[in-house]
Amino acid sequence: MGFNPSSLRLEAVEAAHAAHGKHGGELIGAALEEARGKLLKITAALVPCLEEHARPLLEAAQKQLALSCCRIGIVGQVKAGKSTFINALVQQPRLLPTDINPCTAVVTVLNFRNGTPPPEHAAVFRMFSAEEWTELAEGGGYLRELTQRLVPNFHPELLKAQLEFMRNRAERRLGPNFRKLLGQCHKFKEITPEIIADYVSAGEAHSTAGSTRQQYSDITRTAELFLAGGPFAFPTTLIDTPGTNDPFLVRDEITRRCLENPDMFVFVLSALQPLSPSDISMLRLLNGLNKDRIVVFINRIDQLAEPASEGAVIKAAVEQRLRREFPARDIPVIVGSAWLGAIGHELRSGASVFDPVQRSALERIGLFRGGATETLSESDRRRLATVLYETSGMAEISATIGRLMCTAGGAILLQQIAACLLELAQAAAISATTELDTIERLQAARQAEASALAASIAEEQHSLEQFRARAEAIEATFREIEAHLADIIRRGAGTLRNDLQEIVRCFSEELAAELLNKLRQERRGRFWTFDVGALRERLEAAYLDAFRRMAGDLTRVERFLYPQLEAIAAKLLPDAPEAFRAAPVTPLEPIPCEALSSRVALELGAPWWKQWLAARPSPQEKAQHLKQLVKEEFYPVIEALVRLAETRLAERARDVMTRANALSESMLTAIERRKQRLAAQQDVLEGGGGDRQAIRRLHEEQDRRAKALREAKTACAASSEELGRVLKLLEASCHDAGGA
Amino acid sequence: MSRRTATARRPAPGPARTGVSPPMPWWPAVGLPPAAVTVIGEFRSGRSSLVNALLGAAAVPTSMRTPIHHPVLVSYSPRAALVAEFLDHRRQHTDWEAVGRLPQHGVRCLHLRLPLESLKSIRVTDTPACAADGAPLDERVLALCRRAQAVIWCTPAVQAWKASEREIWLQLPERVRKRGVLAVTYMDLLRSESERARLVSRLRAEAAPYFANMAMIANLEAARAREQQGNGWHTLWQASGGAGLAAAVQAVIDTPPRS
Repeated sequence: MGFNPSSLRLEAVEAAHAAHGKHGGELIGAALEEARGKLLKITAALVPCLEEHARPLLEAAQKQLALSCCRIGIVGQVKAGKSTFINALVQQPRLLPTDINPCTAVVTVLNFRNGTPPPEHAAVFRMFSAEEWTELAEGGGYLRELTQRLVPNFHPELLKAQLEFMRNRAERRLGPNFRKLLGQCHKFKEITPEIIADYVSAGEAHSTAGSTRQQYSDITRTAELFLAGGPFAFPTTLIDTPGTNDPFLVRDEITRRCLENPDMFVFVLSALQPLSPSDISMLRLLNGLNKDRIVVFINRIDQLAEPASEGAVIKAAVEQRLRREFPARDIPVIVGSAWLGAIGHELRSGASVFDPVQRSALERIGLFRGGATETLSESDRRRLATVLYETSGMAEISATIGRLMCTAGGAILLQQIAACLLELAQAAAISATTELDTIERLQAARQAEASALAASIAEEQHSLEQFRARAEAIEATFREIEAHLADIIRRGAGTLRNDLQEIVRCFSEELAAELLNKLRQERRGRFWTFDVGALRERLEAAYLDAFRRMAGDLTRVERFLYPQLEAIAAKLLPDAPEAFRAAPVTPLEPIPCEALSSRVALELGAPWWKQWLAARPSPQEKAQHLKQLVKEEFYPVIEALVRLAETRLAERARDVMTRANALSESMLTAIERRKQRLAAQQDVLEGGGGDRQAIRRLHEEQDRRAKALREAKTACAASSEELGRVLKLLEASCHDAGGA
Repeated sequence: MSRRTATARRPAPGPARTGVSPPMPWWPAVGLPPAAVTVIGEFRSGRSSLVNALLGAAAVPTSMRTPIHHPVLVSYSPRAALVAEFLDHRRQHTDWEAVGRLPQHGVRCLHLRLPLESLKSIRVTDTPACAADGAPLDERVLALCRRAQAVIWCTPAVQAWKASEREIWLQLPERVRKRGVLAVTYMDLLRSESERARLVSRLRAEAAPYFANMAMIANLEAARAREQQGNGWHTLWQASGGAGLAAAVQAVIDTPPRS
């Protein structure tokens, strides 16, 4: 018997599996997907029931629902095992190419859309345009820009050599006419590991042996894959990045460019060198991007001597360090091995023999005992697959991703859409109820005396006038509120800019003083670098603080809108004072401030600073230039932050006003329609009732309308109820995620 | 707990239990004063286990639980001892258990004296981890590198030669780099022969130009070889790359410095 059950304390592992069991079979983000499906159905059902003014809102909601997805960035140092991790997570062990040398050269986007039919092309590779390539290959780009700002005309030898190397390699691999390929887009209907490797893998950088396949990775800008299956229920996009801390500077730059706002990051560490200083600086960088949703995965525990006990020690050490570094955050840390996960997957899908490498690794960590039996028995195979799934950390990371997904951007968007739909449905129900009321009263009055009918019409018209006057007054109030919101944003942005600039000014003074001090103490500064981390932190704290303050002001004003709408509803429907309940106000969270994490020239390494110091004669001049440099580098960051806050808040104000206006206009339209109906009835009445045909037509129209209104009323009520349930579902999943 | 030597296998407090050291045929026993070798690298890059591999004995502890923040100078003495030297040159006998309680900034270095034959040929210094986080190199480490006849940079095979490593190495004066040996550690964690070959081919092209010599060592195998007291340990040791590393270091030591 090959399987060695005693070595891993199977009971513990199997108990852990039972704990994760509920996630084991379930796809990631199932609750969210259920909510999304329901919302799509409700939106479709509401289309015929709502007034014209609400249509654009519905269409926007439909579009957003169709496009919504969770973007997960997989980041980490070079050779941490990011591609292997993705392969294990999506349960396709050979999907992305992996190698002992840095392998992923291209940002690879993997789309999982289980709910929608697949696009025609499963793999799309875009090449750099001629301009982009030239910029990159000539050493343009960010790094060059930074070095230019610090030490103009200083061309680092290393970068130059690497760029030369890259140009030559592209030519060697793709022929002298490779420039003709630039700007092209290659599409494939099927994905094979070979095709991905051709475009994504860095390949054998230094081997001279010619490959039979073309290697495009040097000139590929993005690789986009559309995959069927996978572990996600909710639409999800995984972004595989080339590792950071790559000695090939060009690749490092490509990664920094690609962190375009994922909802969540999985930060992959190697258990062999967990949380090195480079990891910490990368985490600080991510800090500005989206700190609430970072998961740390400590990979490669299979390469430790005792994975279970050492893994636990490393995990504790990493957690402790993260708590010290980011005290306000609760960053989940998971230990595991993507490589073991892949073996586990192979076992689950029926393999019962290992290759020698897998075999010796499993033997080394005590999961397998070498023996005469080469093939696992059926029950051993299943048990070992379970153990590997647990040990690999894949069960836990899937559950964690699912949990974080419930609080990510996509989930918040669903909540907002549900709230908006709920308001619209309620408003439509109110309009329908009141209009139906009028028609029913007219229908009843048909039987009565003409004078009574006239009186009834007059009474209705009078009350409608009052509503109208009130609704118009509210519209005026809305306009005032709109102006007020704009004012809050404008003034807030001004204050924010001043505050942040003051922070940068103070910091530049401090740094210059520090430099002068250092220059006084040491005759020749050997190594110079400046840590601007503290400045980033101060800026971020001030930015978040100001944003929350402005957001608070906005939501307070927003809250003022709803009582107004409730007041109209109450007037229109005195019998049902509860007909309109404001949907919960979704909190306004600051969006990730990428600008804060952008690299500045001040963060270049020691060699550049040596050049910089050498170029300036007196200490005063050095200090002066340093001060100026800090300002020049950080003022654009401040501008970006202010713009970000303004845009975000203005967007929110616009959304709120659009919703409020759509609601009030829907009600006004309903009032208008009722007035027209009354006028028509009055015309007929005044015409002396001579035109019998006209009367019949009018009555028939009234009956038809009444029927339609009853249907709309029922549909809206049903939708409202369903929306209430969806909101509860979203809230519950979000709450679970927060509480877990 | 580490994948190297367990805590329990550390030298006992006070005089190390290493009574007899195995013969070390790869270090020429010449009548010269022992050559100074300094071992540096990033954290968990296998510095300490490489020192032990060089000496053929479990000389320095290799646990990540109790990282040692001071350089450890290992030299020959007929009687084993561990002595802490403070910044004010005061010296004090200590043991590995007590080292963690020493003040982090008051200590210049630790002197570990062991009755190992190999230490008659070389004096080895283990150093605290270097970090490329913008801070300058530890002055103590820099001074030890300047004085050494060979400086070994440890890079772990699984994540070998990262940008941060190059950055630190290039901070050293060229004079020091000319005596540098790139030691690729934990070769035994690579999963196949072809992985090994591809890694070596990349490092030869990308990293070797910054060094005088390069060697590959399988730390885990070297440790196992050391534990094997019977016959055949020498062969095992040779296979682990320990002998190759010793030869690479010796070649650098033997190269006369350019005036």
